[in-house]
Amino acid sequence: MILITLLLILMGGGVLAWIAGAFDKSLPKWIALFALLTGLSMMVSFWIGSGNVVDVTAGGAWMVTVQYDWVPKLGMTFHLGMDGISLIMTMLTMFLGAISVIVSWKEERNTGFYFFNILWLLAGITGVFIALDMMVFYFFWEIMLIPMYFVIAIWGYEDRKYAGWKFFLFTQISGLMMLLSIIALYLIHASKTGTFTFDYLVLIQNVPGGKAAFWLMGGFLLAFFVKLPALPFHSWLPDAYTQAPPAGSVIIAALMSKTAAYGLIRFIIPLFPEAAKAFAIPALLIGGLSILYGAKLSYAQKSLKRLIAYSSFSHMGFILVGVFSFTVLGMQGVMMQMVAHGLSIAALFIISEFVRERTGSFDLDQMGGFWKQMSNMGGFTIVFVMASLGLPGLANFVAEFLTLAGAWQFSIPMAVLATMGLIVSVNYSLRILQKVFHQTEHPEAEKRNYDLTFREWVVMGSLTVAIVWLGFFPQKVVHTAQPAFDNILISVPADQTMNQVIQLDEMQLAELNKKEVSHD
Amino acid sequence: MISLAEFKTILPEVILSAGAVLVLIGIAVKRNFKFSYLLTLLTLLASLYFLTGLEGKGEIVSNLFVMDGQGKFVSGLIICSSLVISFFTYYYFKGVREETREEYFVLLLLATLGAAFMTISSHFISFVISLEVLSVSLFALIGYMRHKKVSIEAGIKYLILAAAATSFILFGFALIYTSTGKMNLHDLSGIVSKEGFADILSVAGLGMVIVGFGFKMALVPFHFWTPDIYAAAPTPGATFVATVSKGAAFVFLLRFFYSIGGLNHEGVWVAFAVIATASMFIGNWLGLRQQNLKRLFAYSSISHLGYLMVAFLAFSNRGIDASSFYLLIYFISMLAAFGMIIYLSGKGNELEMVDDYRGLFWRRPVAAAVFTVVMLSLAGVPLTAGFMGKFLVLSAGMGGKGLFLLFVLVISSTIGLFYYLRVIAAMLSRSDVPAVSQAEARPSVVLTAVMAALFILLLWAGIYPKVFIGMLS
Repeated sequence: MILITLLLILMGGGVLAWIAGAFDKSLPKWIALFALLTGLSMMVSFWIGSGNVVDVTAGGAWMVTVQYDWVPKLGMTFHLGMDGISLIMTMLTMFLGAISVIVSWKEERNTGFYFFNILWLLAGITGVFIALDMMVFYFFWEIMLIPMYFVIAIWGYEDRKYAGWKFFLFTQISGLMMLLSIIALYLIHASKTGTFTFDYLVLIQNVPGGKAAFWLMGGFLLAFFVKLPALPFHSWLPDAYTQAPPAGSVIIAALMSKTAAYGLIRFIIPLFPEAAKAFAIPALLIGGLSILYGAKLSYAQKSLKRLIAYSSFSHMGFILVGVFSFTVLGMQGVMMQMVAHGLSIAALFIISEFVRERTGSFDLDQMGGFWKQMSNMGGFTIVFVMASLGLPGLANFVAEFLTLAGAWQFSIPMAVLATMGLIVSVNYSLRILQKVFHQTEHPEAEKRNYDLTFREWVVMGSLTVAIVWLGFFPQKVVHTAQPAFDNILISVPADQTMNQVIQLDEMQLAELNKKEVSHD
Repeated sequence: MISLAEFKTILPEVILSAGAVLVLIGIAVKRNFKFSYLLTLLTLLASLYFLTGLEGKGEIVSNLFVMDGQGKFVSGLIICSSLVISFFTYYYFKGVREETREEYFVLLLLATLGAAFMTISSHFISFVISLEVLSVSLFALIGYMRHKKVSIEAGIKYLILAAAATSFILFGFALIYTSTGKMNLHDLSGIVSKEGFADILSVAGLGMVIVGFGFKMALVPFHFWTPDIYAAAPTPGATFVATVSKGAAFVFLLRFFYSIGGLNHEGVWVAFAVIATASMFIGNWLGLRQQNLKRLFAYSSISHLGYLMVAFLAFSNRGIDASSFYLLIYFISMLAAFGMIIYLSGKGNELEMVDDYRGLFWRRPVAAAVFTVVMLSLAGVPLTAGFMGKFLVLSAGMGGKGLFLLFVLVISSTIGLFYYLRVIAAMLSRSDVPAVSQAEARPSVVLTAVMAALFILLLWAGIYPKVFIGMLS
């Protein structure tokens, strides 16, 4: 029930905000903030309440599921479920959603419709994280698109229309390819077992094999690679990320790209275990090259926001490296990366926005020596620049370390390739700090710059607390997600399971064996 | 003589023809626009009422008609669309004084009669007669605005092309009859097998029939008349051409080729696949640079008929279901799209350019939101009915040699997204002053209710289509 309530809060809040916008300009933001904070506290109290009672042995890692009839004739049901991964991701969504509302506190143009879009966008993202029916998943996947298009095309910067189109077309065509795969998966399952169903939990019990699996995986991979984005499919990213308004950039980079990472873990591996394994080396290569190429592009940018956008692209490479290492360590790395990167990239985009509010542009040449007037902002920037380059003590370090350790077990050359990314990330990350806050002072700096306001303090402060806390206590996240990952990795072919068993302690080994027996 | 049960089966059509005569008599006694309008509504409602009472399990009426599941479903759809178009007509002609307006309803009823008969025809003769009833009424519906040159021109254009198409179909039927000696679809079943045709005459015959239907349904390369007709005809007439006449032709095409087994033959299948591919691509491609909204809808309808052919080419029961459902979705979307033009246009000047809708979002947010949903439905974006239709077509066409068509559908519909988005972007743009400062239309309560109903249907079928899917077969 908590899942339905969560979606209702977001969607209902959105409709309410739109209606309220007709009467009062500032009411919608309060409604949006209230809805997101309610959602957040609901999920956090659920987390605290269920943290220790998750039943690992009961054949599933699902904490809550609900299922209703939808279109029985076609085998669609409204099936939602939450395991550790979904729980963490929904909490992150609510948290960053609230942050993005506070960031757009000063938005004045059509606030009702604006916050309607923001809330429905977040509802789409949340839905993706908790959908357990392939069609429900696809619906939520597409629900994200239209509000995002509106947010970019109405409230974005100068080139917003072009950016909106590009974003919409890339994601739409890749989404439709995934739809073809979903339909084919459904029909193949029906021809094998006689039941027409889109239910994820039923479909994974009887996965297609051979060549078919490979093609079906292709459709899914295309959708996820575009949204992540991974190497050859990233050309929409700089436009959409930079032209979107601040809240849009935060959501698209910190949350929407995570839906793709989530999709890789949730669907690619359990549905196409063999095909995914066969595709591992190319995928790792794409991941490694994305890291390096993104870092190179990032370093070459003249616009602060574009620099950050490409850095996001670079960091997303780690997700591929982690997922396609097929180890628990790598998966946990991905989990941490989803959270840590979400927090750090959101913070960096917000900083770029704060700077723009003061100087009027994202042009790095128009900046320099800002430390003098804005030392607080500079301090926060140091934290997130360090997070971005992977300094120990911050969450991103944990994520990248786990990912690389996982990749090492799978393929040493690939791990080495990806590790190079840690070196180059230092370059572009430090460049932010140097170009904006150090160097010779910009002549007009003194006139225009002022340090953080209270609202901005709240935003940066809460993000900093989150990223430091996760840096020191990653175990909270790891522990919550563990049963879910165990559940997912069961489907991977045997020799890999052996490989990963070495990494687990005695008790987990026993559990795993027991589960494998019951699975057969 | 036909029996009472048989009479009951065609009662809806009988009511339609009686209604047309009654409206005509009413006009002879005293001209009254509102009276004709109400009588038309009553006729359509009565016809719909008797239609819903039918079983739709393949009742045969004297060798000429068969009331099967799809026939009943699409007949109902046609009558409902005519009902909606009557609302449009009343609103559209209310302010027009220079024309004699009452006859429009007579023509509308007759055209509906032809279309309804066409969907249940199972014999060459009944098909040709109903086709002519439909076409002859359509010439007049299209060229109705006698004072406008473009309207007359469009009427003549349609007259010539429709006559040509009919003669192709007639000649094709004649050739098939020469070779087989049969005209009933039931007797003709299986004349085409995997190995080939009985003889060369029926090959030529089928070819002619395909060409004729291509014209009727405006499939590429027989599509050239569509944009001109849509742009020049009075909007209710254009709506009728876009929905009812195409839908009725499609149903008979499907019944014809499914019962003779035409798609078993590789050559026929490939011919249709080429037509479908071309329609999808060219329809979406030519729409890209259109500035005129009605022309844009014309290209949109070409591509939609292309999608429909993908379901047709599945050659299975799933194909029948999917095509019926797609027709439903297509009808609702097209009715809503043309309805929005009528709803937003003031008297006298029709808002037919995309630029006329600039900044609509900021002037009339609710209307613009509805229009946006209509556009998204035509584009087939999830949560709208258009997506569900596309989904069913994709799942019907999945597998085997149809896979290629699915990729074409996906890619071409993404191309099509461009122009639907362009309309939405125009409505969203902030240059508030519309290109033509028009007198904002007075919203009529009935029309608002009709538009609201269409809007709800679009979302309902998109989100919770259980009821609609349950109606099939």
